[in-house]
This record gives sequence, structure tokens and C-alpha cells, in this order.
Amino acid sequence: MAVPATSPGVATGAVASEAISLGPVAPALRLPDIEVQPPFILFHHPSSWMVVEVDGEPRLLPQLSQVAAEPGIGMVDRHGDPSQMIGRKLQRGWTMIPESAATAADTTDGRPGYLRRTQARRGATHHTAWSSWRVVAGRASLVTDQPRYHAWLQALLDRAIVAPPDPAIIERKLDEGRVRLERASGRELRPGSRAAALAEAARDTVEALEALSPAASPESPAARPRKRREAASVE
Amino acid sequence: MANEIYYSGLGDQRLSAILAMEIDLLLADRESLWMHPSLVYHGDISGTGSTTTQAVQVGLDGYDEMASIAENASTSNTALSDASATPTVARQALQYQYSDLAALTDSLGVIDPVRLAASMVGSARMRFMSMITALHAGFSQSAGSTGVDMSVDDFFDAQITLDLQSVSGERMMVLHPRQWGDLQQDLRSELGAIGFSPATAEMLAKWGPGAKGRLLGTDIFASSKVATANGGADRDGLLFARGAIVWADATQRPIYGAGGVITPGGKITVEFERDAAGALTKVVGNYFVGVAEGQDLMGCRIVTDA
Repeated sequence: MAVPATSPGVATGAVASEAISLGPVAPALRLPDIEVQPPFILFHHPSSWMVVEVDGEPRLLPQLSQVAAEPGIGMVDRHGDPSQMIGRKLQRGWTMIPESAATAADTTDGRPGYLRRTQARRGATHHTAWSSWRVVAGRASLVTDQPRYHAWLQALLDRAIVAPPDPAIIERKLDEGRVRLERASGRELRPGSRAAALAEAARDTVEALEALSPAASPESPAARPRKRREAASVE
Repeated sequence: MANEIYYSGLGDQRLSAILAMEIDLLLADRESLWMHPSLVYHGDISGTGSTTTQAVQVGLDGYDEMASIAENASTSNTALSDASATPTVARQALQYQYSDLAALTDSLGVIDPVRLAASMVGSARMRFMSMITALHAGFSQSAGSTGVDMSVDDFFDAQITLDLQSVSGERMMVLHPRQWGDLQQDLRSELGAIGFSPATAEMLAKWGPGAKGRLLGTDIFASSKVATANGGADRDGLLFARGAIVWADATQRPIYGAGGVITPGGKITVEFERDAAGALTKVVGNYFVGVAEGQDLMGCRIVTDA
């Protein structure tokens, strides 16, 4: 008798998700055990930025926070009303990213809004429109469409939903990046090693920030870490 | 020869399997910071008139500094700075329902109201842990790099971030096991001595295997409940000091008219609801709890590769 590739009843492959705003849970699907995460609202703090490689170039993009919007968590009331939490965040300088900021053209599944819900065995789990759960042999992992997600983050800047980074923040991050790069340069960097990957990330960060920093011209002392970069090269 | 008695021929006299008399718990993360001293407990809201507690933070005892002034000049007023942390208590619940037939054939004591009620304590503890880790994303300071494994550099960056804010006292770092694994890998390649002490028997007895030890004076706790960040690419750990996270809960008043009530663990109420027509029994656990960010600058997110 031929042995089936998977046991009966155990789903394999991509797990269906639905486009939602915060609201009632849809009928449960029969799914393997995947971690439950609460619904969330995306926020951006003006000091949160990350360097990612887009089309081979390191770029500075907003690092968003998935702030939970569930009763009992962070000032969300017993009815699930997050308005008090939102008010506190806005008061402290955060920017709320509205659901409408993600259009159908922005998302991986071609549906508007950034919040998705997938029914899991122990409750609904929430994730962004650029992620989906995949199940292989009963084990689930969250897969993210990084290029599209990063393109959307760039779009948030282009559409002025998120303000560009303040020069003072760029300078501070540049300082931190240089310290990291200097430390990474002191390690033995074999190609493909963990230390080399950390050095590469530090180099990308410094490169992206230098491109944005008016103070870091090639002649200025601030550009010195470029020499260290050569020392840190994995080639 | 014929008519030998084989096992395979005793279908009516043998069972396909017998249940072992010992039950094993299904593998799961059961580590929680419930009642941990690094979290500030605001108290019990029962009978207070509100679901929200408000802990006032005031800028006294050195927050405002004196300034020099001329001998004959008049001073001006300084505004008294204040803020508050406000956890809002809400209901968290879990329900099981079993039939009489399922219960009466149970030989292991699993389909048992008292056993299910006791299990609700673990469920409440883990819900609390998930609520705590859900707060991580709300802190404004962060260390780490997206898509890059957690390193000793990230550990120090987060520490320095809190140092810059004059955060005093003992610190706690809550990491996803992936982050903890990456940090350990990086510790192995560190040059020079790094002061890491694995969890002692006392720590393990008190906080379970989630307590990983102390790294340079900071307690490290690993939990799979640490949420994802950056669209799922990263995990959202947190370094914090006491005061960064606050919580409150409530004790239920005596419940009248219930078929049966048990309160395992003190704050958790488990009720039994009988459906005689359907020969079904519901076991419903309730816990009223709320968690919130205390002082934002007392915490620093650690966002590193998932």
C-alpha cells in the first residue's frame, strides 16, 4: 500500500487567511497548532528606523510597532476599544498607520488593509498582509514577503504617512553603527560566518546612514569608518 | 495443524490499545512571569468602582534641579511634572465542554471537573505571559537590527539605552528562544570573559526553565510568547527595569446561582454549567487582569531576526 505523503487531517502548504479590520472572529478552520497573536494596530515612533537592502542598496525605512489591541492589554478597555491607547500614543509622538494606508496594490494577497487573521487551533492569530502561515508536516512557520513589505514601508514615506527621519536621529544611529562596525572589524571574518554577517549588517547600516547624513562627507572625520570597513571586508 | 489460538484472532477478547496509567502533558511553553517582582502589581480592583487603576508618577526627589539666581532676584514657578500608568482590567476566559459518556468512560482522571479546573491556573498564567509580551512593541526605544541574529552588541546596545535614561535597579530581559539561542551563539565567539551565570536551582524552582540565568547582572527569561515584529521577519524581545510594566487584577465576589464554583489559584474562578438535556457539562474559567506599559523609557525593545 502506498504511504500517503501526509497524515490524514494534517494540512500541508499555505494556510488561508482573511483580510479583516478588528471585529468578530470568522468560523474556525481545521488547522495545526500555530502560535496565537493578538490583533494589532501599526504605529511608528520617530526614533524607530531600520536599514534593509532594497534592490541591492541599503535603505533606511521606518520600523513599525505592532501594538496589541485586545481587552486588558495596554489600556485597551474591556470592550476592545483601543481609543485610549491610541490617544496616549499620539500624545507621545507616535504616528498611527491607518488600515487604509495599505491599498490592494500594496499587499501580497491583493486585498486592502494590513491586518490579517488566521484561525488557529487555540484561537485566531493575527499577522500582517505580507505574511502567511505555511505548514509542512504539521509544523507551521510564518513566511514574509519581504520585498513587498519593504516597498510598502517606502510607500509610507513617499505618501507622507510617516515623516522622514530627523537628522539628529540619523547622526545618533550613525554613531552607534560605527561603533558596531569597529567592533565587527576586530573579529575574524570568514566568508559566510556569523561574524561576517554581523559585520555586513553593520556596514550596510553605516552606508545607508552616511548617504542620508549631511555631516558625513568623504572628507569629514565622520567618514573614517569607511577605512575600517575595508578592514572588515570578508573578501 | 489447525485452530491455533493467535492474538490476531482474538478480536473480541483483546483491545487495540490500553491506556497507560500515567498521562504526559503535551509539549508546550508553560513559563510565565506571573507574580514576578520585575513587574509592578497595582493591586486588586475589586470593589474600587473602576476597571482601571492609575498609578501616579511624579517628578519629585531630584527630578527638578535647583538653579542659581541673583541674590535680589525673585524666583519663578516650576511646573510639577507628572504622568500615570493605567492598566485596564478585562476578562480572560477559557471553556471546555464534555459529555457524560466521555466522563464516565474516562480511566485517567482527565475528563474530570476538578482536573480541568486545576488546569485553568496554567491557562491563566500563560495568558498573562502573552499579555506581557504583547506590550513589548509599545516601547519607543529599540536595539537590534532587522533580519540580523541577536548578538552581544544588541545586548549592550539595549543596556546602554537604559543607562542613558538613568534607569536604575535590576533589569530583566525577555527574549524569544530564537533570540536567546542567537545570543548564546554570539557569546561563544566573544573575546574575553563575559559574566554569564546559568540559572541556579533556586531560580529554576521559582520561575521554571524559562529562567536562563544572569548575563552581566541582567536576568534573562526566554518565552515562545514573544511576538513577531517587522511583518514576521523578527522577534520583539524587551529589556526592562521594574516600573516599565504594571498590572492589576480582580478577585471575583461569591457567585450565586452557579452549579458549582472552584477558585484554584485564588483569582481564577472556574464554574460548572450543566446541560441536563444534552448530558453535557461546561467548565468555564475566568480571570480578570490587565497589563500596561508603566514608564516607557524604562524599557528597550530588542528586535532581531526570528
